[in-house]
Amino acid sequence: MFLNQVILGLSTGVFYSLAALGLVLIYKVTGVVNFAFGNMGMFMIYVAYSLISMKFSPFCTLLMILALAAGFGWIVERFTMRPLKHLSHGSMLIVTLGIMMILEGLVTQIWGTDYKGFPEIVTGRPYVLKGNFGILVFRKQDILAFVLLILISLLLFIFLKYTRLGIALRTTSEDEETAQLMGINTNFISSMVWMMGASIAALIAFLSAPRTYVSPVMMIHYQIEGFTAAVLGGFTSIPGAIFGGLVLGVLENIVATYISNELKTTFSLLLIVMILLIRPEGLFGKTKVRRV
Amino acid sequence: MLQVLDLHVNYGPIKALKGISFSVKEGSVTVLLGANGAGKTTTLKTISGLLKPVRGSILLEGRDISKLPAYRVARLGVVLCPEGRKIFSSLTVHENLLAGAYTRKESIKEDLDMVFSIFPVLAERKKQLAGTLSGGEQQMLAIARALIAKPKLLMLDEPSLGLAPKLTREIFDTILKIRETGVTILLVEQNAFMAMNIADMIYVLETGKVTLFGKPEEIKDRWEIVEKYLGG
Repeated sequence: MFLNQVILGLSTGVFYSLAALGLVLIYKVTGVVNFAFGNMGMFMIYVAYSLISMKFSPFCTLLMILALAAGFGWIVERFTMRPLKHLSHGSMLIVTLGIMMILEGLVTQIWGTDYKGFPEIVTGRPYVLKGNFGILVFRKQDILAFVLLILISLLLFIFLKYTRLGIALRTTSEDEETAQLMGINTNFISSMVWMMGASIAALIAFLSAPRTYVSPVMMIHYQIEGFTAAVLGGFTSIPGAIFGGLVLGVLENIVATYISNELKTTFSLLLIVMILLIRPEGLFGKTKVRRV
Repeated sequence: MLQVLDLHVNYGPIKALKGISFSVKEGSVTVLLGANGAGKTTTLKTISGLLKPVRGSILLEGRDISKLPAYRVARLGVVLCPEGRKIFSSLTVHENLLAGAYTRKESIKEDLDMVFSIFPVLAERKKQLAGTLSGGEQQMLAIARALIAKPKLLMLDEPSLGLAPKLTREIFDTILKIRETGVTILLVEQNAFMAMNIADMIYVLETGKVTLFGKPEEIKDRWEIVEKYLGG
């Protein structure tokens, strides 16, 4: 049924939105497309898997993983991105690709390639809504993911619009040198967005792992789709990233249901090419208003 | 308050500053005059920490700040209003001022009122995106943004660049007003006549060196030299 497909689409779209959010945050400030994004989350989820095997509760594990991911993001920024900053964005991008592959190799070495199951944070029977439109099914974990997306978006909006640090982030994003003249430590801002990005990656992995299973390639899909969603939203716009992810999730699911499941990924890759050709500034990208 | 001693700065292979020395007295307006490429902007950028000297020192109240990163220099109260305004065009006027006040821990409400009384037009455009302001308004915003940081030393890099003569006079009147509030000013200019009117001390730069300096009335006798350097 169509509505159920939309709901299902939204429930994957939430993860695309979050992935796009993580990519856009880092891109906005540092100008780097983080290809290691997905695998940073993937690596953290293997750590989470081990923690859960040691009888930590899922919720407690989630908190630990988020903190750990932030630390990991800090290390990546401080020791691989910052020293390369004076070279080019291209070299930083290559390094994120390198980190992506290193992490994949590392987990295969430590944990092997077998798919592993992962618990949901909230379990129980899904909510079912009956009416003259038919039956709608809402899974509890999906609702949690959706609530988290709304919460994160809202917090991010308040942070960027109304806090001292948020304004510092936006100035750094627009003009790093001039931001320094305001007394803003722009290196600190870069660290901050890498920490935020890595934590978001870990959150996505944590929430989606029950469905995708824990595997070295579990996040590749979200990486690509998050990238598509970000392109759809204009790559520098945060509302664009959120909206782009949800739209992509729904569109993709409709393609999968009504045309072919195999075409799903092809469709989103085709979408990137089409957007870049027809409307490179994305749905939410702004052409700069400027008067001289 | 500020002493620059034998400053050498390179831009890649180009020697932009070849041993510049000058000092800025507390409460004064000091002007660096010079044609394009004389090293004026380089000097200000180096003081603010954006460029690192290969030799020489910059003493702020006796302390060498030449090795500090730019954000630390700004936190010490040495604030640069950069060439070409460099306002944050995707932020509103108000947010630009908040960014300028980043280092301030206390409430800035009074300072906002102060800035708005100097530049009433900014109060009118408070909620507007800074990128939509006119050139003159953008320059006012750039100065306001620097002022709200409560600088000890305010450095202005060619505030009259690209402005109509009437606006240029307004900006210079404002600089005098700012001086009256006790802020020390280091100004970079190409407009020699304007500079002569407001400076306490003038340094003339030519291809990375100070070639002439003194109080305006002292240099006046050698005015033809200045004119030669600046092309009038």
